[in-house]
Amino acid sequence: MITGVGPAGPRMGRVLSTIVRLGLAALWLAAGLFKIGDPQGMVRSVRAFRILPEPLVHPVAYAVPFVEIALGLLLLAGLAVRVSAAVSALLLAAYITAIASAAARGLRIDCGCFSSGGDLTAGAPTHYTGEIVRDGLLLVASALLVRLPAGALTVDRLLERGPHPQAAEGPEAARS
Amino acid sequence: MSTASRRTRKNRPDGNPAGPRSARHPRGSSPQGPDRAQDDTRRAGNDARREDVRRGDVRREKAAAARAAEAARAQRRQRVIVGSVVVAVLAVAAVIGFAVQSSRTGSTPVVLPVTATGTDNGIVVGKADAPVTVDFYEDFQCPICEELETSLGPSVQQLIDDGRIKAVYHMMSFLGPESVRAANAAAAAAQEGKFKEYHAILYTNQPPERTSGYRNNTLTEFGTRVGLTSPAFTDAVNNGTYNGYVAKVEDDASKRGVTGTPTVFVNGRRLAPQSLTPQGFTAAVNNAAGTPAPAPSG
Repeated sequence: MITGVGPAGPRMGRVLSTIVRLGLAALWLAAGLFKIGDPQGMVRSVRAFRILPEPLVHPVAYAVPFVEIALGLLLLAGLAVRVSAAVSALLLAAYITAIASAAARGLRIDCGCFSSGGDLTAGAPTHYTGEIVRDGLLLVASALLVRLPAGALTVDRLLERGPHPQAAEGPEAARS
Repeated sequence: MSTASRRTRKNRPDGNPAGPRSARHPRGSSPQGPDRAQDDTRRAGNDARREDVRRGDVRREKAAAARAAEAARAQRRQRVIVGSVVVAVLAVAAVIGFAVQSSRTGSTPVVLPVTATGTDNGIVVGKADAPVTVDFYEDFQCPICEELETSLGPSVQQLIDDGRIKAVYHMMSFLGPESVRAANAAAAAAQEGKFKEYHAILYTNQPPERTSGYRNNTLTEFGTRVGLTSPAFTDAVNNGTYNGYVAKVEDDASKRGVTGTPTVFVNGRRLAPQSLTPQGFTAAVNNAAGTPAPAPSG
């Protein structure tokens, strides 16, 4: 499987995979830690999108930062990189959908007072575009990681070295 | 060790002559010797295996294929297990997050100030039977709210004094802990019947955003300046007695779809930002007064 590729291919792939993985890990950790301190604010942001019904607003708002941090840690450790990367891509796809739908419905998510202008009507569209582009790039990175899960410094590699070769061919190899 | 085993696995298909043969024969040869002699008698029972042994090449290939399949299966099994573990970890993180954040936010008790009788427990200033109700959503730390207070405040006070409007104040608090402290202190002032005076002194002394202003000692001192000297007020400021109330107001505002400040509703109808001038506001109030009070004309 991994063996068919030439000598330069896997090394490049591994370096790329490692960089993308650690980058996404750092991003998810930062995103989660940033939100975790303000559960009320998170509730308001989730509600402001007006996508989820009210009973789901609190659970989602409370859970999301923790899921983001867990995802960051999993990517950092490199455990089931392909699955983690797929979850990362799914989350980002959901975010992009939410932002795009808010933009399409003309909602103003950001509060007037955060920006220096504070005008209630101005400034929204550019914001949305920027956020969608950013999340889109992260989505591409996650998809790339789904394609190239094998990087350096992963728990996955340790696991592959460990029990699997012994079970499959260890005894026979020893006999020869 | 792993690189070695991986190399053997890799080499096996092309390294066939050496590797597998030497590996296979020892195992095969021990039954093979006796088997040769009793070939005919045992054939009926064991012929399938014997066929394979005789066609060594075929068997070797099959064995290699089986080994590869077994290895692939083991690898797949391991991947499924690890993948499931990862999904489980994420699910557990979600549950823990819900539990932790719920316990963190749900514990503050909601104490309502006596004048918090408006919609969503807004603080009411003015005659209860005034024909027009105006809901103000503002944050004491919000500079635009301060501008609005400066430009609109006198008109609002005049309309309240004339008994033409009943003002309902919803104190939002999303600009940091200073917002919460100010709102808590204003709720304490409302409890003592001096909300409007305190409201004014907070805006007059609004600190710049994100400078950790509105400290408790400043807030009690503002109280002293408007005649709030009771220990009840000071204690409420220092203990955050109304923090639960402040959080509730914030939550209710977001449920009503108020995501920014200042937001003003005249008889339930949201004023456009360009109407937030003394003229625009007075016009909206006059307009609303022409229609029955509870009608949210649209």
